[in-house]
Amino acid sequence: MNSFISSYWGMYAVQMLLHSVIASVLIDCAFVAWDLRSPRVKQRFRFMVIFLPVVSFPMFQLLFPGRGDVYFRLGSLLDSNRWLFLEVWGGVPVLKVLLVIPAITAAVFVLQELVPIVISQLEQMREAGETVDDEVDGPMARKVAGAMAGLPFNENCVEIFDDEDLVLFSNTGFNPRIYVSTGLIKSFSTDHLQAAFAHEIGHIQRSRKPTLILAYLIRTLMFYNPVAMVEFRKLAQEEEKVCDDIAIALTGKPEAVVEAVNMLRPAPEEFIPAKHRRSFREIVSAFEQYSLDVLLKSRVQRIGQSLRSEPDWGVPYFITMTLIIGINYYVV
Amino acid sequence: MGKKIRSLLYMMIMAGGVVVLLTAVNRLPSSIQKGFARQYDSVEEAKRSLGFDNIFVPRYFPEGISWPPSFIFGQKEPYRAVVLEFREAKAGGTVLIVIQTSRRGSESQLQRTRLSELKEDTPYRLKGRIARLQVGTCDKGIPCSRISWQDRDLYFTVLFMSSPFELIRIAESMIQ
Repeated sequence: MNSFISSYWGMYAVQMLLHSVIASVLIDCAFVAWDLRSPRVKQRFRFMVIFLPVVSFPMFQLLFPGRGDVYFRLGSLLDSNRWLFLEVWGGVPVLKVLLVIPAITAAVFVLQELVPIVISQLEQMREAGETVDDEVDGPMARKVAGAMAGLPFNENCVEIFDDEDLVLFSNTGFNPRIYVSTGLIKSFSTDHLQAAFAHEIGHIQRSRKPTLILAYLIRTLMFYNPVAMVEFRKLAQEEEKVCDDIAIALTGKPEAVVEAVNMLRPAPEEFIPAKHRRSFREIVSAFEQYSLDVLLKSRVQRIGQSLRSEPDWGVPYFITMTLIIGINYYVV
Repeated sequence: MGKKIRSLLYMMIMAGGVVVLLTAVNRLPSSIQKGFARQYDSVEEAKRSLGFDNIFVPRYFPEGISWPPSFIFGQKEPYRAVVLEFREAKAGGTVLIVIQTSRRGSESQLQRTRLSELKEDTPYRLKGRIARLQVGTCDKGIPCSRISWQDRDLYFTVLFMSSPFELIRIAESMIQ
């Protein structure tokens, strides 16, 4: 392990993690300093946390080979070796203790991000070309057609499937489609349905500029990095907010978007574990529902605030990037 | 004060806070434990602080180079390494570098002066040990030579800003 840590790839792995921590802190500072709230702008900043740590180490080493030697470490802001080889609890290096964090992060990445995407892709390939529900009753089809009226999307590309739960999602790509459950059509008014469809159209439109996919691909290189995982999830959450803004722009009905998002929030009993709920799976499920509720609530609150035009972000972006690169240069 | 300047000032203060925090975090391990990379004032201090049984030093120095070393660097982790640099009395520049490390291939991380152009690379028998002798030029085109060998679990490199004849005598004086 000692040999690996002091090798090129070991230093790369360690510095990628440290640099993403510092980048994450600095972009949060930038949000506060310049009062940046626009989800589009925040996404651009968060993308730095995913992208810069991957390229910074090879670039630094290429431009300044002396940065890899021990003398540079003597004058650095933070020398990771000092912490990694610090012995605690009877001679165990901190490195061995800290290895738990990337190990858990890698496991979470595989189980929560990689496997579900592979399964979803396989399902999409299997279901391609199939009509989800051929026999849609008239009133339901008319309601969908009414909601789609005026939206820039072909209503024939909306697939209805038989499910009493409130489910709505879209697939992007060359043949984009919106999938909606019968339960959601029944529960939502035409205005709510229109807002929900407009949100999905936002996802489809934005998939033509696949920043998230690029971020995901870069982020997979840092599969062990908890900061990259958190930042990628925040990036995805900002995407939902961007699509809310698109939905408002397409429908001109912010109240309908707020109400539609509110209707998707889980009921409190779903995330407050009752006394009889003791199993691990139930606790995990309650936690997931709670997280979903927090996310949806934050979207509602943001839409509720007055919408402002996108602020001037160019100079703050440049300054933040310069600070990240400048500080990370001295973190080895 | 304009909003833009105030925002910039806030950002600079926060970034300054990050730098101060990193500096403090960097200093903490050294106050808890010895053996991290640092510069030492004497070979004895390095030996004592790093807990090494022995630090190999040359017993022969060409004229104009004298004891003590002008720069002593040592570390215990992530691998054991000691670097001694010697200056020429008249010119004042570093002319001799002695490196001992427990990790093969780490010399490049420990050598501040590099052999930039290699003219000759040949095996050499150094008191029964197989060594590698290299002759070329270092920074600023100064002629220099380097010899490397392994002795038990340590890897030695000696770099001298001159022809290999004196270098070999220096290296031989390090082998007991």
